[in-house]
Amino acid sequence: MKILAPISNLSELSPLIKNGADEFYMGIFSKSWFKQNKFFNPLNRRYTAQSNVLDTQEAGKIIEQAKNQNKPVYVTFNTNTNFSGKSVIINELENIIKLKPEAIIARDPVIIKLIRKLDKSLPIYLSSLDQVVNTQAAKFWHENFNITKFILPRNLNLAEIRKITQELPQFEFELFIYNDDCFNNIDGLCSSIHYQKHAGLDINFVCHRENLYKNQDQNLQEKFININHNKSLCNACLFFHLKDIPNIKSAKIVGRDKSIDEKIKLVQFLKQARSLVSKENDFNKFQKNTRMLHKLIFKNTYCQNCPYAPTT
Amino acid sequence: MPQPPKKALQIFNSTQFDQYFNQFDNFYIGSATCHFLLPSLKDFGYLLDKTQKENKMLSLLTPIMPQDAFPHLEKLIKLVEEKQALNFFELIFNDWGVFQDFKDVADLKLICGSFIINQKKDPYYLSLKDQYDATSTMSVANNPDYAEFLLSQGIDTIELENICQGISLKNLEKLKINLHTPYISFSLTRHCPQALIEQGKNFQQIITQCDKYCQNEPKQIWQLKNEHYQSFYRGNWQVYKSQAPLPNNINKIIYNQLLIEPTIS
Repeated sequence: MKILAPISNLSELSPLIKNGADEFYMGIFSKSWFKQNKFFNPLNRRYTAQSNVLDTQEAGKIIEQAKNQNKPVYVTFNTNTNFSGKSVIINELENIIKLKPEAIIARDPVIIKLIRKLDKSLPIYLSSLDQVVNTQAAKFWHENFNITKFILPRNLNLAEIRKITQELPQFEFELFIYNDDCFNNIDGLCSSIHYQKHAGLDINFVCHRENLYKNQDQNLQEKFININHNKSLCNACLFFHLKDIPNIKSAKIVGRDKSIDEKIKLVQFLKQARSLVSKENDFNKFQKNTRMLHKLIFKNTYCQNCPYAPTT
Repeated sequence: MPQPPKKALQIFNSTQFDQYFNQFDNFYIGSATCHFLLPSLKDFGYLLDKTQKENKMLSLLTPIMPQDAFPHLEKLIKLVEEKQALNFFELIFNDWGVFQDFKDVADLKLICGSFIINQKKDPYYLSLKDQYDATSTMSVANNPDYAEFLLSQGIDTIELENICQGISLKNLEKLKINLHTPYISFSLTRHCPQALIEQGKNFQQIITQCDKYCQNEPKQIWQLKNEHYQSFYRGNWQVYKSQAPLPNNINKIIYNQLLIEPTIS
């Protein structure tokens, strides 16, 4: 399983490669798009400038320099069908295709068709927002759009991941290995506004508004808030549990808006956690060592309530 | 004169079905948010028999479907076929896997659910009136290419929700619309807080067994209030009550059903 890291500017490329990133994904912040759409229709579900590479030229350099080191770069374009007109979106796609990324990550049938029309050979990976949570859904996207690589959504348990990936050996899959705040709601079915702390606004995602809830039963409300605040971000146990499934190709680190220091730590941690799999056959020992590693690098242990430990 | 829209009601059990039977033309059973709310075979058979006998419609709402939930859904659809009730039945899917699984069932009407037809549903849009543009009222189906894609799959009916900022009918002429009102589902999770609490768990976990706690007494509902909207957390989903007026021309052209969900507070 390769470690797929987020990147948002050229200066991040070398340190991330040096510390263990195998491949990259990025969004591109289009100024022309932003001017027309403000922040209501982001091209890749991240509204803020710090989550995106800020100009096309820099994005091209990232792709080129990464390619020179055999590190593929994928461009995220998982917006919904654009409401501003086909010509506008074609323009954005043409600019991206010219950069020659390894693949485009998309979700929308119309956009996928447009990409196919503009470049028949460019691979398209299906975004987690399309919720491929069963084998039939993967077959639908393959049958209609010739998609062969799927990004599995966060809301799958281990048994479901195993079942889908093992029943579809002809397809490749990617999964999230280190989450950020978007761990609770179902990808793509959450309609929360995603421009927290943007343009002077400070709007909590819907999954973080629970402190505003009222309930006559105070005890119940406290339990509810406790559950919603109890995070499990790490998921490194997936390396161990899924080591025998060859068509899970990539483990994606969430967090394009994270600082380079955070990204480096994540890559370091996951690279070392992955290497522990080959050294340790006992899950309990693997988990113990991984927790120690996490504590060493991050000074905390997030995996106390990991959904993937023990095996679920 | 155009016909007034047919009225449909979301129900969760056969008791509600019997209670409201004479007042509606169509009944929605199941859930767009949780597969545990699919009806039992026994209940479903009862609803099918009665709607068929009285010439009414039954719509089965289905959510994002985990692999393990398919066998039960397949049994439900088989029952519709066995009872020869396909003319009185429609399947609403929110997962392309469900569409893929049942698209070849002859005479089965498949409707694209509101979680696939993306709209901007966050009620916080009401507080951003000065900033949002016309696209905020649109769904993906307002794009004619998207409509063509649906039609190419044999889908001519979609579900929309009457979101707080209002809905746009632009370019929707080729599709039939089922409109949900007044409750709008805008977020859901498989870490169902209500079920987790009932099961005595204290951290997030995907629910693998559930006794439909969300159908319990109203005390289980968390209510969020601010100046803009009132929303509720029920089971694994968040809904709010939209006050948006319906578009003026809605009776003339676009929808064939009005889904009035039962009062949830």
